[in-house]
Amino acid sequence: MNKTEFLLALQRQINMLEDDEQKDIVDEYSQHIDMKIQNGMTEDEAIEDFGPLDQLVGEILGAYHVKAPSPAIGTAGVASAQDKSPADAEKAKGHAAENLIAGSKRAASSVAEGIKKGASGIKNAAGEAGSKAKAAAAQAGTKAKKSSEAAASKTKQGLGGMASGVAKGGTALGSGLMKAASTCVRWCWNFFVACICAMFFLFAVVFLFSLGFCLVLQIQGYPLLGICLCALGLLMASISLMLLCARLFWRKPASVPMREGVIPQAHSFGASWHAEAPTPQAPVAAAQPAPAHSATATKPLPQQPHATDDTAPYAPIR
Amino acid sequence: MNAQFKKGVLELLVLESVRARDMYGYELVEEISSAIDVKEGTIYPLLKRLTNEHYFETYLRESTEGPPRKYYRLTAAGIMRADELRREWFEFQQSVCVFLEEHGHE
Repeated sequence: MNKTEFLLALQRQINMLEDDEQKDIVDEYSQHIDMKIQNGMTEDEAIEDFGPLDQLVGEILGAYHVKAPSPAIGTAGVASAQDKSPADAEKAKGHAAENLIAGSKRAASSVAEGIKKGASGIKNAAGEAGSKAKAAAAQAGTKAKKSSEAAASKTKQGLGGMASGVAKGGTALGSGLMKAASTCVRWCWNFFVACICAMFFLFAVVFLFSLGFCLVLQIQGYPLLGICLCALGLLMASISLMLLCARLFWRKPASVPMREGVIPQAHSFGASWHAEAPTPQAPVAAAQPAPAHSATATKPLPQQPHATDDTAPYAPIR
Repeated sequence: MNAQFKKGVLELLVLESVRARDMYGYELVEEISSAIDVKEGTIYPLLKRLTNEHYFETYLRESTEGPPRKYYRLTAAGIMRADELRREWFEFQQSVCVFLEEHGHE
């Protein structure tokens, strides 16, 4: 077998590879044969040094993880096998095309069915939701009517009390809603910040591992000093960003302690219990005696006891 | 020499040869053949496999003696692979030698 026959046979047996790879392989062996001829060997001797062609092809294809052709096809039978293969290949291509078309049709039909089912499901769900909403609205309307009638009757009976109660309820509701809203916003913000902190923590771990790995390789002699410095810088940046994000957490505000003197129920000498806050009293003249009938349940007595009024009778506590 | 022995160390020898300097295919075959008797047809598939596994990278260099030659150069992954095989080889050789010494005179 001469060089041309060998290279043709070789290329036929590796025709499943890409064209660039085939050319690369054939060029390599061609150069090798040329160099052997330059060193004094004949073409046949140079080709025989490669060993059996089937074995050679098996090893070449093994490098590409491709299964080698059947060993029964020797170099003599390569031509006949190749002659038959185009027809078989065409038949196989035809079968493959038919299978592909059938498979694509089946896939399209299944997708269409899925879309139809989804659309019908959505329609049913929308219809049910609409009917439920109507029923709920009707119930709510009847309930609202009933509650409004009851409320109207109640308001007729105690209009003043209702107004103050509603006002108090409204303020309480408003403050509650504000608290709830601020709590939700705080939780969402803290979750977001926690996620960012976790992300920077993961980055820091990855860069720490990379730094260690690169340092080991650097000690072993690989030129990775630049990469080590980069990993160190990124590690420090990740840690800094993580600490920065940790400071952005929104902590719950501490409750304000009760102040002295703001207790709504004041207790002073001779005075009855009141719900009002104590008001600053004008200093009473020392010469004026405190009248007994003035210390009633509705009027608060002065905070400062009279200096010369120790003998004044105290008003009864109701 | 036993073919399986040669097959086992061939990859190590190829990696270590290219580590010393960039080589083209025929030059590498000559270098390896000076150490062990190996079929030349085995070297090229091995070079192809090591290139596909990114242990080698190739480039063309003009030659005055004919068409441009394809040179093989070891990559960083190839250096690590060569170090690994080298270490495994010495461990294997040592353990086999110890075993043979223990059982050599029985």
